[in-house]
Amino acid sequence: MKSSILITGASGFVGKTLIRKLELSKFNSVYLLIPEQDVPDALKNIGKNVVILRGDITDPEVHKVIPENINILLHMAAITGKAGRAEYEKVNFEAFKDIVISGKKKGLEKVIFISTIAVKFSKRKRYFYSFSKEKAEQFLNGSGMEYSILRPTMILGSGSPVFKGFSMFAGLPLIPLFGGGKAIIQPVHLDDVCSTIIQILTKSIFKGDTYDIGGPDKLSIREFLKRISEAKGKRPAFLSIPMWIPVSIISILDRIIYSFLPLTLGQLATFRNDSVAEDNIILKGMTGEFADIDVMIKDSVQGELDDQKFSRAVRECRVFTKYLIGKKSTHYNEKKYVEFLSKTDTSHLNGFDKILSGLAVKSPLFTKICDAYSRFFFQHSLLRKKLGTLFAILETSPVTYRYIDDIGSKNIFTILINLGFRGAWLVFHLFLSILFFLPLQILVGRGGKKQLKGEGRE
Amino acid sequence: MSKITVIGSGPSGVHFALSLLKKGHLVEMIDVGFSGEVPVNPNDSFNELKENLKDPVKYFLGENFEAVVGTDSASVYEFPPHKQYIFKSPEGYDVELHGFEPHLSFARGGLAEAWTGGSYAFNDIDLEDFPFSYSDIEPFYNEISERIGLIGVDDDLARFFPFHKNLLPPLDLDDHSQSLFNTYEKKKDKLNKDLGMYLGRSRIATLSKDHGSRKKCDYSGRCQWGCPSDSLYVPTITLNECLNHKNFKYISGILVKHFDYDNNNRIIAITGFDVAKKTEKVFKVETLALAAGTIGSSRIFLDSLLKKEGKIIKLAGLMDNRQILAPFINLKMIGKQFNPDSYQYHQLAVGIDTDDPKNYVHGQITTLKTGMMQPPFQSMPLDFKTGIYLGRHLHSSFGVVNINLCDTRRDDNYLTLSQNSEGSSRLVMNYKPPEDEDKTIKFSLKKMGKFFGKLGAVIPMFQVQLRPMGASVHYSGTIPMSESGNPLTVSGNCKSNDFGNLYIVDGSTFPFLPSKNLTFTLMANAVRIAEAEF
Repeated sequence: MKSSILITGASGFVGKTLIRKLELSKFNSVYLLIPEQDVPDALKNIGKNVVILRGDITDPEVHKVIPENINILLHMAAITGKAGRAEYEKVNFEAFKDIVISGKKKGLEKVIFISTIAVKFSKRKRYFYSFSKEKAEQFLNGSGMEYSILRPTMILGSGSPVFKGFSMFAGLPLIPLFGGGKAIIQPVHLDDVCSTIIQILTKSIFKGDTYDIGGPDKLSIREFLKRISEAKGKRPAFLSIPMWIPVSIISILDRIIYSFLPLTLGQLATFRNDSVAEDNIILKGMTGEFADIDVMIKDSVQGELDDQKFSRAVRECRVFTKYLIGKKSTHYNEKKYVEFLSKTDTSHLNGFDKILSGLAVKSPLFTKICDAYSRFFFQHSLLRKKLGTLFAILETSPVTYRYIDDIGSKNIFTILINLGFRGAWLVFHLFLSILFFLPLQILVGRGGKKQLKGEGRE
Repeated sequence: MSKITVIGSGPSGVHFALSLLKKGHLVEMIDVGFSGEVPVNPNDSFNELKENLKDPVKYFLGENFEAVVGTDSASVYEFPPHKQYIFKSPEGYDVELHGFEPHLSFARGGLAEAWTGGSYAFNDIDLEDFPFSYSDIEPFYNEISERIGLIGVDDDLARFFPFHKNLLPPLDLDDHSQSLFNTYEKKKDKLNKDLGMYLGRSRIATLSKDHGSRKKCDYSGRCQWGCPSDSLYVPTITLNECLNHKNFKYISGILVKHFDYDNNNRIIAITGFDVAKKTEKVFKVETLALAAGTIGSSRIFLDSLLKKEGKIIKLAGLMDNRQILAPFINLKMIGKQFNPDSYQYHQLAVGIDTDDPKNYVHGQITTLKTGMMQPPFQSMPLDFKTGIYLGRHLHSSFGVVNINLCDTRRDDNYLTLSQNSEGSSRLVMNYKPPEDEDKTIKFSLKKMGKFFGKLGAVIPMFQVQLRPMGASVHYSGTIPMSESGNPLTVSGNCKSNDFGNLYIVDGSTFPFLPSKNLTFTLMANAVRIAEAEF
């Protein structure tokens, strides 16, 4: 008989990839519990048997709406990063406990709990995250459920939150190495974590055991940071710092200004403990197919670049929307604008075109100056194409089209006076732009006369 | 009962076929027949689509934003993404263009699937070079009006196109068109006398009353995006009617390459190319009717002669209406809120009386309602921010008059073939405008400028766009009707003077192209041929 499954954390880092890989049609029903009001694109239209439940897992009302006859709970929801002790406890332990208890009354039998390798760390003073996960593990052990607990090591791949922290370190001119960066890590690729979860579901492994998940390579943190730095095209320089220095300082500050600290004792634990996975029956025969460390770093760096590109595009959309219609862009506007940029070939742009586009995004005022110049002296610029397409997006999107269409009725003289001011304002900006851009354009080169083309456009 | 093979499912083909079927003949229609999607959310208005569709931007602008008009686009508006199938060509349909930029269609229903419905009867002056008069074709205009549903009134424009039977009452005018019309009514005596210009209601193939299963126009504002209620007529409506006849066989996916004929010049078969399987297919023929449009039919004709006799000839006399798009701003409408729930295409037409009535200049006036504003912004001499302010407040006052000029058959304008190294043919199109065209354009624009000025509107002449030849899609004239019996012509009933069992029922046979849209006459003429010859 087919099972029904409730998945928490489906919109998270692991969740989104897992849902894409999971054969959802093999389940009778799939319930995805997510905190967002707007369903992320990755979870839209993914199957007729999929139901999205919205809500905070700590909300008792949410537990009430958990449907009857759910056989399996895959619990991935967790708070990571930097939070207070009580919050870790509430989200990572209490909420999990409540969901299991509530689910049990409605027929829940099996649980997969995604924990952390940090539960095994020996030095974890004030590492509240690992404490909360440990408590959840202990609760599950005594809950009477059939279960499997997974303790992944550091999970890498596109969008990895932990990688962002290391990447920031690796990008510094002088990389601090706490304790010489000697701690051994054994990162695992996001795809391989998902494969392991799928393996458990497919083979129905619920023996009440705990399994570590690590990748094929073990390396020191120093080596890890070196490779990240090199992958980003840099030559790393390290500054070794004895572990007692940050531990002493942070031990004092951690209790006083916890929320302002860039690094907490808990986060420092990665530098103080080896994070390696023990062999187990699940990984037996699977690790040979797991991605190696180079692939993990490559995917993570690429993901980071994609994220940066995405953030830039979203920022650009926001600034340009403000310039064009004086309003905030909607999530849908931004999504479509990012899609347009991804389909636009910018490989043949000349230097001036790039400068113009780069400056225009600084603020709506800059956009105005750059646009005014473009209109009269560089009509075929990328900037004009971007603004033209964004306006087309705005006038065909919900919410923003209404603003563009609705003017009420206005007196012609009011319009003319307003237009006069706007015209004068345009002339002023045009004058400014000529002073600055004309010499620059002559210097960098005109070029860009050919209309820019999107992929599908002739 | 005879079997007639019809090539093409455009307006001529489907009405010719329907008349034959009504008379009990067997009809086999062969067509490439690319087809599109059914209209989405049929009960939604234009703005409701923006609210209710999952991805409205994809619907309106296309998967790759192809409907966004670029800075150097030749068109003010691109066709909507879901209408692009109408202009898709089969692989290997080579053309070489000289002074002519045609739209080709291999879609079910042909180019008229994207028309704006203008349907004007030709009068006796227009038909002077045709071997029949208005009274001969009038019954067929009436018949087509009945079939397709046509709105129109007996007004000032009836002096240019006869007021025939079976016209439906007009639709409600949108606010802007009403404003122009009211001003004209007040000043018309002076405008008629001083400028020789007349304004009236467009004759449009749309419904103001339910017509069979087709519903009357519900003012959803979706005309350009595909009428969801089928009130705006398109040829696939008649094709679907044909499909209900047991004597009708529709074979799609076939691009007809040429016909084969015997030594007595009787066509015995046609050879088609299966577009999907990429194989050739032969169909036996008793009587053949070419209705693939002037360019399509002419190419089949040319390729057939090349195949059989190895000779390349010219089909001279290619015609098309020169179109000039003159935008205007109606000062009375500035600052007013536009109503998106209106009929979107032209509702008014304007005519210029000329010294030689054959040179009549026809214009169709479209006011901006739900059309997108992005395209005009690209060419405004303003930055986007100022342009948008202006555009938003001028939206309800924007309009465009599409001015059409007549065309005559001239030897310089022809279709022919060239052969590439692999032996396959390429269609070559040559077109040169008449020498006095500039004069006619200046004359027309000057008149329009004055006329609109009197109506309280301004035409910014720097924004006037001369559309390239081929843009109007009113192609005609390559195998004209003639009583001479000469080769490369057809009889008064469009029977070929070269092949005994061939009829050409599309615009190829028109000996003159008035400035009025020809589609209505194409349909009426096709019915006339069917009634006269079968």
